[in-house]
Amino acid sequence: MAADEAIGEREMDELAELACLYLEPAEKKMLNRRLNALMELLGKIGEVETGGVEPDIHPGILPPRFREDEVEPSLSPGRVFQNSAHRSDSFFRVPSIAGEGPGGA
Amino acid sequence: MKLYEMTALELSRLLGKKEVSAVEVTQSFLERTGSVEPQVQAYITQTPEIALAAAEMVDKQRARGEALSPLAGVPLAVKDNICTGGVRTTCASRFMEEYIPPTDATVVMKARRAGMPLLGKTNLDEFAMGSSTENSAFFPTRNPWDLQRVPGGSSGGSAAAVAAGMAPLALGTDTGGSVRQPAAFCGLVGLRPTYGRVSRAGLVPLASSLDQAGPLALTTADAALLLSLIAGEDRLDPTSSAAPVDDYTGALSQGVRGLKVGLLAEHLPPEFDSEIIAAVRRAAAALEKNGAIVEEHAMPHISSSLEVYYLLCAAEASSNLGRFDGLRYGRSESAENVTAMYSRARGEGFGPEVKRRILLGTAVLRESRYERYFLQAQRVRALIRRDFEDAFSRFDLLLGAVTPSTAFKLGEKIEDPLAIYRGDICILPGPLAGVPSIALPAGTVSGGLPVGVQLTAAPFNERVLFRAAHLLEQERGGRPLRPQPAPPAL
Repeated sequence: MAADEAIGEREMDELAELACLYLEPAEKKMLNRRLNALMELLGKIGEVETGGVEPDIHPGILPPRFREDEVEPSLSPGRVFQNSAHRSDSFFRVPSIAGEGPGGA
Repeated sequence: MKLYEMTALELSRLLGKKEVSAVEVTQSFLERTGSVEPQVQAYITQTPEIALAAAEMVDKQRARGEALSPLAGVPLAVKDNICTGGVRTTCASRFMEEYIPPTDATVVMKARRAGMPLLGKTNLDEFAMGSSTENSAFFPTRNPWDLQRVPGGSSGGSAAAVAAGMAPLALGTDTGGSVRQPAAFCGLVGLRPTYGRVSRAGLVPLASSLDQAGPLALTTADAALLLSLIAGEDRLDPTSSAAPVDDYTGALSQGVRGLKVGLLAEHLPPEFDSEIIAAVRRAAAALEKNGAIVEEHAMPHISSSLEVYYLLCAAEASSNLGRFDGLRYGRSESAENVTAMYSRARGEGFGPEVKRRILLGTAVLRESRYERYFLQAQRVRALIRRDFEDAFSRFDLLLGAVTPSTAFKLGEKIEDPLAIYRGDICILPGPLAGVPSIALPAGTVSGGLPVGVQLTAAPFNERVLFRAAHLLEQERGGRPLRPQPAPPAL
């Protein structure tokens, strides 16, 4: 792995934010170290000659299957909410989303 | 012989002849569990009341003369990343500690409808990420052959339960070897079916292009019985195959005469345990003696499987695990805004291996690395698949090792995850190509631990796996491999 491909402190913060993972500072350092060791091992994939090879996203054994777009019975609200602590009537209740992100108030 | 020492097929025959009741069978496994589970710790949740209620139902149905599944009354343990309606499904994660699925996974629904009493939910590496069951957020499971050693993973709880006589059959999931590796470490038969052969509906996803459910069993016949039950098309899983389900049990006695077998050169390197290489060569000789044609065969790209698997699995896992937000289910946290709520729930609910893989997947899916890591891994995956297509244009079967060594000691590799990853090298290529593989016991080695060998076939050709695996089982004496000495009871 080239030095510029190593994950630094700043990128760790970005990755944690992208992945929605709160990390304690000591944990972040430990994960950063292990992640870089892993990236170094996995970086060997670049050594394989793949000119002209199409990426394989799936085992590809099965043809695509389709079904009619019809309304079917689904879970009752009671079952949908049975594992949630954030119910408000027939809704999931979340804290304010205002003020988040670059376009937030 | 006690009931808990019998194979699923033996129990099925006794039940069919009404020589024992399903309740007696279930009680035998529950009693056995009561005595050895404190040492082995295979189960996260035990469900004796559910098991006995199902067994009573089967006994009533049999008394009424109803037509029953061959597995009716034969109990089952289920890995705890497979949803069980009304029974908590934790994925061995603090995040999901209290989660109770509203419905059964299709494989569980099929087992319950067939009258298989559900004994409980078995331990695993958190979200199936690991190869030792030490990554469980709750406790490590111990190998019944040597309680100081790991049972393998991630389906280690399922394997330990069957090996210790706490269940005659178990379901596991195999994304990158998680049925076959614990089968080898615990002296069992473990089958990874073709991608699409068994429904994934209700399996908590790790990597959707790789995940499959499969049986852990004492014998090839038992594995064939369970596969026959769970295989088939499922409208809840659009990647399940509509191909008819073959007669797997009928294939068992067909022998190997005329089959062409490729002996995988990459599975015989000097750094592997010499006794494992010897076991693979003995299996090759046994197949040859019985009429198969065995030739050594090289697959040039499978040595890159480790890199391809861990890149693609992490990328898919980072996306799949995005659903765990602590809002609809799972660990719940309060926070001033919604992003902080998600981040705290995930930060506190996930363990270190899960976080590492989510971060790895997030890193390789970023624009700056996408081409060089993610797309490159997908290209090499295509080359690995071509290696298999080429192999199956010449051979009916591929024979190789399951693991480079026998079960390692608890804690031995916990600080070196890369060493654990490297141990998966023989079991990663198959899932990348979607092909079926079976791990089966090949005896014990000098330390008294079991060793396995692996057979791989072309897509949807599980029958040929069962033919060869059954023959090798017969050559070994035809009986299950059992821990010696048995795990001590309290």
